[in-house]
Amino acid sequence: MKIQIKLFAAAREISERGELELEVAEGLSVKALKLKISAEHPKLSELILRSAVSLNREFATDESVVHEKDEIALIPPVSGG
Amino acid sequence: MISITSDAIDPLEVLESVKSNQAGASVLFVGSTRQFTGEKETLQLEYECYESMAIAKIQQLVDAARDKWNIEQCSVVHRIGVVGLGESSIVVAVSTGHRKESFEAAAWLVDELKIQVPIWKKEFWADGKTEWVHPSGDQRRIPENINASRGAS
Repeated sequence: MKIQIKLFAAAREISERGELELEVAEGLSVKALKLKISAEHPKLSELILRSAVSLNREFATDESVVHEKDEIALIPPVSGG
Repeated sequence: MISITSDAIDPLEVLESVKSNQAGASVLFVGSTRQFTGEKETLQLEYECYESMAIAKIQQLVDAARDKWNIEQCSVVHRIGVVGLGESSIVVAVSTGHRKESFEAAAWLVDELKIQVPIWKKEFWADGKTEWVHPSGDQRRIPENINASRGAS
């Protein structure tokens, strides 16, 4: 299945785009997704280690499963306020 | 009032929005761009957010604060884009029956926002360098879904 991952802040600047598109297997876990992004986009790997993933605007756990229609985002450590 | 805006924030307008005849106390918190962090000089900050999630997360924090304290009115406004020295990036206002609750609730909301809400700041240093602020280490707690933790506490 094809998925899009929104990128923000340093992740967006490092990869020079606001969204990544990946072809992944059904039933992919968030942990596996992070490994796959790191493998395909090595420049993001250091930041991914410290980042969360959100699915449909909620923080996901490593075990959460990604579905095709999910709104997916990589959430680097936040610094609002 | 919960809002994310690229316009300048008027703190007094936010304070006005929590007015209530039931409130004996209102606390207004204003976060603004600081010129010096130790020796390092900041020229300006720039904020970016994941807006739909940020609004949802702020709403969850406000709901959780209402569970914890007896809040009359509560407003959170965050600015995005460039925020110059001395300008406000975040304004939180809380009104409650008595002062202790509004002090506690406002402090809690600002602390949690800095952990839970997908908003990021970029430093523009006076030496010409720029840097996204992505805190790491002990000061950082992994975000958890506040809805999931609400029932447990």
